[in-house]
Amino acid sequence: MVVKGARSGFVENIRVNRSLIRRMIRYPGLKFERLNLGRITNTEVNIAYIDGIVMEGLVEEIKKRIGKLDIDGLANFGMLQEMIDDSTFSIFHQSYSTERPDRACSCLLEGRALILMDNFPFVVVVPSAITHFFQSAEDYSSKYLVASFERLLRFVGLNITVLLPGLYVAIFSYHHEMIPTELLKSISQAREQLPFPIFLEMLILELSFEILREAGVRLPRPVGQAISIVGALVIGQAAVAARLVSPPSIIIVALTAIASFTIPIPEGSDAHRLLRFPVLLAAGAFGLPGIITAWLILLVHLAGLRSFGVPYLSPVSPFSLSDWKDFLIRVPSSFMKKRPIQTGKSNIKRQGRWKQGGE
Amino acid sequence: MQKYRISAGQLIGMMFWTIMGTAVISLPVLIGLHAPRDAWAAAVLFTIGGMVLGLIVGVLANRFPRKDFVVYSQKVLGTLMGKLLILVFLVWMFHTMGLVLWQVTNFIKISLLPKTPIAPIMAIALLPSIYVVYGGIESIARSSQVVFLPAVIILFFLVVLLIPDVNLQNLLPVFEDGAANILRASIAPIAWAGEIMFVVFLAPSINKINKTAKYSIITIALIGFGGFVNELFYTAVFGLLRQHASNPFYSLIRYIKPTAFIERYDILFVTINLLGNFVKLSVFLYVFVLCLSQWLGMKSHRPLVLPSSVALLFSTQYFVSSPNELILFLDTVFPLYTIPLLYGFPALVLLVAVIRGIKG
Amino acid sequence: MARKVLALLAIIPLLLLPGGCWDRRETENLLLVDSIVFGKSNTGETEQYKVSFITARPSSGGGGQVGTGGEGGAAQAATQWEAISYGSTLEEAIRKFSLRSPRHVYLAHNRIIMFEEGLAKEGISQVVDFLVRSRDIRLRNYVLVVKGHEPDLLTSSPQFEDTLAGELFSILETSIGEGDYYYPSDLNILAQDVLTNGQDPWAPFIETFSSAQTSTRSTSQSVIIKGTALFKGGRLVGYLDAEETQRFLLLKGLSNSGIYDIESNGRKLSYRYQQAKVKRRLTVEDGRVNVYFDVKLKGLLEEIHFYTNLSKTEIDSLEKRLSAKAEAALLETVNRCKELGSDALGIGRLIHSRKPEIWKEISENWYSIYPEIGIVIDVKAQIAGTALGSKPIVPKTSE
Repeated sequence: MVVKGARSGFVENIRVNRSLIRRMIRYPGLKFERLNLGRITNTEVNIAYIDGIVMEGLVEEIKKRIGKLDIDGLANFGMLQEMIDDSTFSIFHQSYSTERPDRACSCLLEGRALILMDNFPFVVVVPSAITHFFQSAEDYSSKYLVASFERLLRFVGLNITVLLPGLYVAIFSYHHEMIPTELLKSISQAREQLPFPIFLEMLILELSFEILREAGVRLPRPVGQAISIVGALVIGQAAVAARLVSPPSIIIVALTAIASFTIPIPEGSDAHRLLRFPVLLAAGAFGLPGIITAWLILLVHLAGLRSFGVPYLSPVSPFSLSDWKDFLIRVPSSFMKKRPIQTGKSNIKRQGRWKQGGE
Repeated sequence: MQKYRISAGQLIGMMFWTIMGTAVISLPVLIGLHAPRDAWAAAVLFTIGGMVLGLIVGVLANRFPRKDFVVYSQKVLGTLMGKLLILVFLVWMFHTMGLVLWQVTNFIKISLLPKTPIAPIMAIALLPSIYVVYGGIESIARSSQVVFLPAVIILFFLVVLLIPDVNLQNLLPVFEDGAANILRASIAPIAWAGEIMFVVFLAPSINKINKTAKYSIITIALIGFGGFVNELFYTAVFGLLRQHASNPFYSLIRYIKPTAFIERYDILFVTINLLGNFVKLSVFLYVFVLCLSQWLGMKSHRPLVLPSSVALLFSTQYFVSSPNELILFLDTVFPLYTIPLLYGFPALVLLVAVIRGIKG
Repeated sequence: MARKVLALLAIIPLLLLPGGCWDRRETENLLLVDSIVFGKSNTGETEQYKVSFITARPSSGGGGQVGTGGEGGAAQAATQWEAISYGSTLEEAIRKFSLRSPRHVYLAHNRIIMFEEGLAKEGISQVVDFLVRSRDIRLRNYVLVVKGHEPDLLTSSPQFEDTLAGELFSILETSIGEGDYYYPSDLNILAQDVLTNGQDPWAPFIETFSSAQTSTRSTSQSVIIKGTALFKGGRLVGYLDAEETQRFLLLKGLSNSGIYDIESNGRKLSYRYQQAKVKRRLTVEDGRVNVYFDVKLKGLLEEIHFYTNLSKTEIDSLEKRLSAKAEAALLETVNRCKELGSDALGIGRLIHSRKPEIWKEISENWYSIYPEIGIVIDVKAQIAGTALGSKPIVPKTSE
């Protein structure tokens, strides 16, 4: 939901979307390349970019990849995302989508390119990197301290989403010496006389939550409220009272769920919600080494991932200090003089120097 | 062959943990065997030895820019001699990798999963490394870079928490152990420092080759400093008791207690240890496979990754039969052949190249 | 192709899942041992080790009753569970607990280790060795010596915490920084002292006593920390009471505050020092080693039951007398240590660190030389003011 920003959004008509972008960027260098996709649907697809700013070779690469597609038509733009990805098997998207013109335009200014598809109110941004798991357009409407704090919260939230259930299971199944005595005693007491070992309990709870969530998406609004109350309160409460699960487990599942909603882009949140299951399995089998192994495999996968030539782990891995200014924190706007190095190399400067405050 | 360029940070990140990974597991015991009070002095000699080797490596890399060590060492020393020495090196690598894997697995087994049989632990310890070596130098460099900084910061933080427990009197009288003992205690660290010579295999991919020596020396300095601080703390906090701890670093971390509630930092240490050793195993495996593929004249190292890993998993259990035996071995036999090989080989190549006037 | 093989390799650990998890333990299956007491017993012909555990018993009913309005608090019947086991080795004694305990014995959360007097007198080095090398026991465990009749210890009930160990633990923790009559010693320090030549171990000791309390708890006993036990090598040789412990801790540099009383003009004054700096010096005079303790105390006068403007000369004379009194008291404690033969003050270690050549010669006969070592204590007490902010309450008519 937009708190402090333009409430306009892209629509299903590609010409309207084009004009929305043109209204925000009034510059002759803004170009739209038109293509037609799908033998039968003949959907119009536009590639938008700012000539002179866009990453070198990006547009040609996009055209090449779309050109290679030999399909009848596209059911959804998500399929387009999947088809032009560098690596189809990865759980992570290598592009992301937005329905807000202001976000789309700031991406253009960073040297990225947009892909518009007729009949869909979304625009695909390429290339993408892990930075997008933490950035949201809202960040630029608050002061830098607040925005930085929120970004850090998202970072923590992301880690919680993936690691918390696994950590909980690992520590309380294998590594009891790693927790303070009082905590161990409390949780031990809470878990007296329960039928399931922690691992099974968490697995059941997490799966139930996913089912609830999936069901909740399809519910009409008035019914949705009731169902969520039923699901969360009654079922959770009843399960605890019936001594099937323990309250700490419920807390962990709830925390994880809430944390997964802090991830600003749906592509990111999908991937991470799914990731917690392998981590949970690894934790249940091998405890902490299992989690670390799983995390490392994830890291290695990310390290080798590229999105249209941009390494997925930038700015951490090809380390560039100037990109960190907009990554986990947000420095005041007057400091953001350069475009992100990977995508904006051809025209790196975007701001001159000017003095803050009154004359 | 490799088009990816490693940056300074990535190189340092890789090599730091390559040496440190098992240094935090085994070295404290080895040093403590001979010089419990003056253990910190061993770190000084480690630094010196490592820096010398780093220089040699840097000069070599500069002399033969972008050429593979396997190839030019054969050119310099003659095909037969070169191939022979590389073979010896390969055998050393395979065996030492097994020792490293065994140390890591043993550490996991003792501190975290006592009842689990060794085989599955070995498999999961090695798994990420297999994956990353498959991806090539780019994946290794990137993941090491990510792992490096947080791990070092956390280590530093953990050690700082122990300052209230430091009893400086335990370090006195200084040099009581005697120069002979200190030298003896430094032999194992110097063998460890020899691992910096792996840079010579990575050199063709480094961004700024002329800075190779500098990067290697910085890495050694960092490790030396870290080792110095660690040894200082082991002696200061535990006194003579350090000789009785099977893993002083782990005991140190378990001892931290700045406040009544937040007292158990084991989890942090174990995590860092495993992450660091991931880098170590990855770099070892990569250098091994790279070297082997070049020795055999193959184009890519990929086909060799899986067979080597499987072979490693199977043979490691035959390398070591008990922790005590390993400590004894690392103390006596290991440095005897490691130091000549790791220091001598590059030095020999450089020397002969200078004498014969061969450049790349 | 190779991708497929890699994927297969990744699946192998997952296949281990159903059969895996060799180490998995559920939290409710753990017996969290809070403290261990080591002793020796003479049942039968052979001497055996006696090991007792004190553990927390989970309160009945569990903590999960959300709807039924929380714990009533009445289920506090017995919160601790004690058990004793005998064995010819320590390992055996601990292992025998599994005969009685329905849960896994888990030592990693142990907080207190206690030695019974009998075992302590025979020697604790074997037990210490066992503890240091045991995987679970952390070096931060506090160490105590139990004086007196041990079964009383097990039947004593804690007043605040849910187990005896918890109680002792809290007592020990709050004492740090107040530096008064005892100071906790942990396993790390104790083990080092056992190992080190020239430093003898020491630990606080406890005794049980009956407290005359309310009717429901009239027969209960509780424990109190009474002072410090001194060892020589690994053997217990004697005790210092609370007063002596204060002096002892001051000399070791572990104490920061304490109280001395003196009389002035027939009235009692109380001096409390809040900062203490102790410097130790070594001198060698014609083949003899002398140790000097330079103690500087800074503190305030408390408890003045009369009103007087203390003039400078009065303060000076008070300071001098306080210094003399402190010196005498400290020297007395030092002599007591010498009497017991325990070098818990670390004089040997001091000589070792400052003058290693001399130490090399005398370390063999240290225990015979130790009582002869000249120790001189010099105290400078400084009165920084009085602790009272205003005039004291004095009855108008004198009693």
